[in-house]
Amino acid sequence: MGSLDAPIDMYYWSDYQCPFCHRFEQNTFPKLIENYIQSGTVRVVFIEFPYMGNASMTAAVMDRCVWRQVREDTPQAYWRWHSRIFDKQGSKNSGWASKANLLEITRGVDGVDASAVASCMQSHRSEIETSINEDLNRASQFGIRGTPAFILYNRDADAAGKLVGAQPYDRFDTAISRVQNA
Amino acid sequence: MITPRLEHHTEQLLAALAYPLTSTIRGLLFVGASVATYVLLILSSFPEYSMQMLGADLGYLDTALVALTANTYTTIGTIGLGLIVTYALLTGIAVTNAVGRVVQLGLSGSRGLSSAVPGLLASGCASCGAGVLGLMGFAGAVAAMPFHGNLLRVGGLVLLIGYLARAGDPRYCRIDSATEDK
Repeated sequence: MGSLDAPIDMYYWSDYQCPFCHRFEQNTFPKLIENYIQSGTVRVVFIEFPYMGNASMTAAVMDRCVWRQVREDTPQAYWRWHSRIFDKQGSKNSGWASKANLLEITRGVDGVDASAVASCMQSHRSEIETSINEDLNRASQFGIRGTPAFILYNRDADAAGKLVGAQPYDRFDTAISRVQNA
Repeated sequence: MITPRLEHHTEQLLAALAYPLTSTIRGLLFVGASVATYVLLILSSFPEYSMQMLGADLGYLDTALVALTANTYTTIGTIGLGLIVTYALLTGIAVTNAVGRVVQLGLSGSRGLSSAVPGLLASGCASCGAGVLGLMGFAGAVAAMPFHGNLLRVGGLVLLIGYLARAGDPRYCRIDSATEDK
């Protein structure tokens, strides 16, 4: 998400069942998009960190399927889907993140073909789960232990900073400035 | 049928529970210890986030408390949050009781302290153990625990209640009747 030329990367680990991620999406992320992502300063790399149950993995696999479908032509549709899923978040492992319910939510998202997503889930789930598990192992090497978690990285200066949890916007503001000026 | 021993421990427990209400100083100590315990337990539910927020500015304490209380409620529900509040209240009573014992009898004479310290440590570990596990990197451990770690919290409460039932009101000497058990 954001301009490919943005000087700062924000790696964002999340679980669709995580209420703290929902809090970040509601309170902080919109301001970051407005002030840093739309202006071309930061680009966001979404990484799945499904650790709150089987339904988390289902949502994570569907996330990858949606991205595969839209990344070439309508990448902004991915953001709509991602945002909609967090808007519809229910209690952890209550059934809201079942495959059937997630597909139902997907049908209401413009630019995402729910049938194609279902087909992707059917054909590629195992392969995608393997890839997500590799991401989980990599995250633990970075010291990621819960969600939401963020690493801000200035590629030119090779400087990085880490934030964990749904911290307020001014904490991100400070961290981005620090990494940017490193 | 209530046995004399059970009746004795119930009386002791009720006396211990009522002890903080017997003076203003004790009441204030109880409130202070309870609030401090609640703050510690809530902050320990996401230790890395708490450390980052408070490390940046202690003024974030209220933000962190509100965010983590909301997150705790969403994650473990009314029962889980209720257990944490109950644990904080009982710890407040136990601390007030232990201080009262020291004031009444002095450190050398405060037999009850020998059980208070291990009791508080054990129940503390049981109650905030979920957060400590997260800090140690077992991100999925809490999610995998039965009833989201609530059983662990109940264990902590049982230990505290056991301590209070043994300690009673520190203003009165405990008479262990050897003949009673014969």
